[in-house]
Amino acid sequence: MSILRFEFQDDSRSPWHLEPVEFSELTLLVGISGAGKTLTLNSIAAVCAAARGRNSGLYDCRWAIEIATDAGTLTWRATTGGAPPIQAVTTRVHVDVDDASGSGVEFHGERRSPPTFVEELIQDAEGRSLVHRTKGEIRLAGSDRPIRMKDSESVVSLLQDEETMAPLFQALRKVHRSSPAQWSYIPFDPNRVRQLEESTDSVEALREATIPIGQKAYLLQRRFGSEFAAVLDAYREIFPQVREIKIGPTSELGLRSTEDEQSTSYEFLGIAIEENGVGSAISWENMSSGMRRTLRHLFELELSPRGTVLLVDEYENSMGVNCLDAVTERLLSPSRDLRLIITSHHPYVINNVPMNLWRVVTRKGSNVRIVPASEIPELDTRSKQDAFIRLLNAAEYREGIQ
Amino acid sequence: MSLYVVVEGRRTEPRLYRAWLPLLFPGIQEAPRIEDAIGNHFFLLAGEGYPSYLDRIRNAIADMNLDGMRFTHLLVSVDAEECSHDERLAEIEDVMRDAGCSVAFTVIVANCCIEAWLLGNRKFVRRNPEDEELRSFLEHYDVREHDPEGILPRPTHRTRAALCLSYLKAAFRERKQSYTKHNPGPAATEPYFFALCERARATAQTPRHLRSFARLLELPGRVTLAPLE
Repeated sequence: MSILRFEFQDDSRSPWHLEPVEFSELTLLVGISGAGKTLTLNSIAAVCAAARGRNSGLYDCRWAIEIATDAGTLTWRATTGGAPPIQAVTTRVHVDVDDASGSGVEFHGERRSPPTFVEELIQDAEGRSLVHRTKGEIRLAGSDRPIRMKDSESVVSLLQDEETMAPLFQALRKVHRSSPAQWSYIPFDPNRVRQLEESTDSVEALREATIPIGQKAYLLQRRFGSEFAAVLDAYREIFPQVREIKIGPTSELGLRSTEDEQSTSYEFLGIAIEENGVGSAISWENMSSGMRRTLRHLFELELSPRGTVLLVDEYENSMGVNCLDAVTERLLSPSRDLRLIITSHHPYVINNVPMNLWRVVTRKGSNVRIVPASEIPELDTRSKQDAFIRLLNAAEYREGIQ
Repeated sequence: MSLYVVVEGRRTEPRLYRAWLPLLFPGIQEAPRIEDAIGNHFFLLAGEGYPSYLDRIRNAIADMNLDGMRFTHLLVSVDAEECSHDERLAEIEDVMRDAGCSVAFTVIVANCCIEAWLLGNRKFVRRNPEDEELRSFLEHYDVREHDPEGILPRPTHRTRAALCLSYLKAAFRERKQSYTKHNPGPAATEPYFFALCERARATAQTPRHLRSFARLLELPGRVTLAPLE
């Protein structure tokens, strides 16, 4: 699967517009800070969250996303309604089974209902309508009778089990935003782990499982030793001082304090490394941010399901010269069917990604435009200056925000 | 035949040189690519600071060697910063020699930075400012009277270049204007440039100041730009 084309319009209180942009198997978004690179990745991630039935927070938005799926090219167009008022919510959580009163703890917060889908249209490559939602009714191709379904969920999610919609749902489900948040507080449920162990009889099945990547890494370690060892070898190639990577319940890794043991009855998965010459294991939190980021990307590349589109924002952040080249090399030559949309400011990264994969991001007011490097005249030259330097000196890049 | 220009940084120098070169070479135009330099053009590249610009210089020479007739002259303009003028000049000339530079070239090493040059506009830096910081800078080293290139270090600033930048910002602030590395404002205008030229010329009443800037003014006498045959 791959995202072929994307267009986005936000008419909410912070309006902006992304002109149609085309992506390749690997797309490197380059542009000065503030041009709209992260905004673009965020919008793609939010649209895909909406496809999965999540609250995307995309109020008063319009988009069109063209996807290459197992069933051919499909385009999903959607328009959402405005933001409803914020509601105050109170949640009571029972955290301690020994709580004699049984009253638990109250958490107060705010919630906004998910956006409503005002209009949606899913078309095939020939422009034929497969599903059309308008005026509260959903019409499926080949059916005369309109259906009514809740308007707070996209048709992609609502009709995910329909034969014609399943490929689109499955494709959009595989857009994954690389985020450090997915590596902290990974819940550990022994029963669930047992179930997963029984149901995942191959690495491919593990990759396809809809669980956090940290949980996949844990199962990889338990079930598929040689594949886990390959990740460890790749990691040790970059950080030769590392002896072992350990993933497991924090209590088993010895990462929980006695106080934690006594105060909580729930369990999280922890990640730790052991280094030569260092007496005790180094927990995820105590690892350097560059080491964490490298390990995260190695597991993402190993454990993302086939057809994943990985969105990586400024992936060079925190990475020193000792890991940047090795991780770049791996990102650029994934051995499996993965697509990447990455942003970078780093000369090493930019110089090492072929120029035909660059997309230059510029912004005029609230209008973001992303163009292939081939449309930047200054880059079409025999000059011996580094590609990155030519980019920095191109007027389109220099004057990236107007 | 055209001029290949490598300047120190990405923000200030490209803006100033884009404004100044047409004043030195009337009719000169910027070529967006080396291939577009077909005579009376300049191709300008930001060097991305020291030592990155040394690579830019090496590659500029490689570019010029691609087509010997396209560029007549290589102009390199960098800052001495905390180095001495001669030390930085020697380092760059070594790089150029090692890279096999066969064309005519001019290396201008600003002493100590381009902001020191910009402090040379006597008409712009007020004699009796209201701005307290500017007053304190003038008391420390009066750039109206003394050569800005000889500015003395001050404990309040780690480098002379940092002092020049603060000094210049204060001079602009006094006039309710602002100077930033990214937007040099009036400093990129014709009258400002001519005020610096005036300062760089010695007269019976005034000694010669801004000697490193004056190298730039010698450039038209050293460079012949003509359409590519």
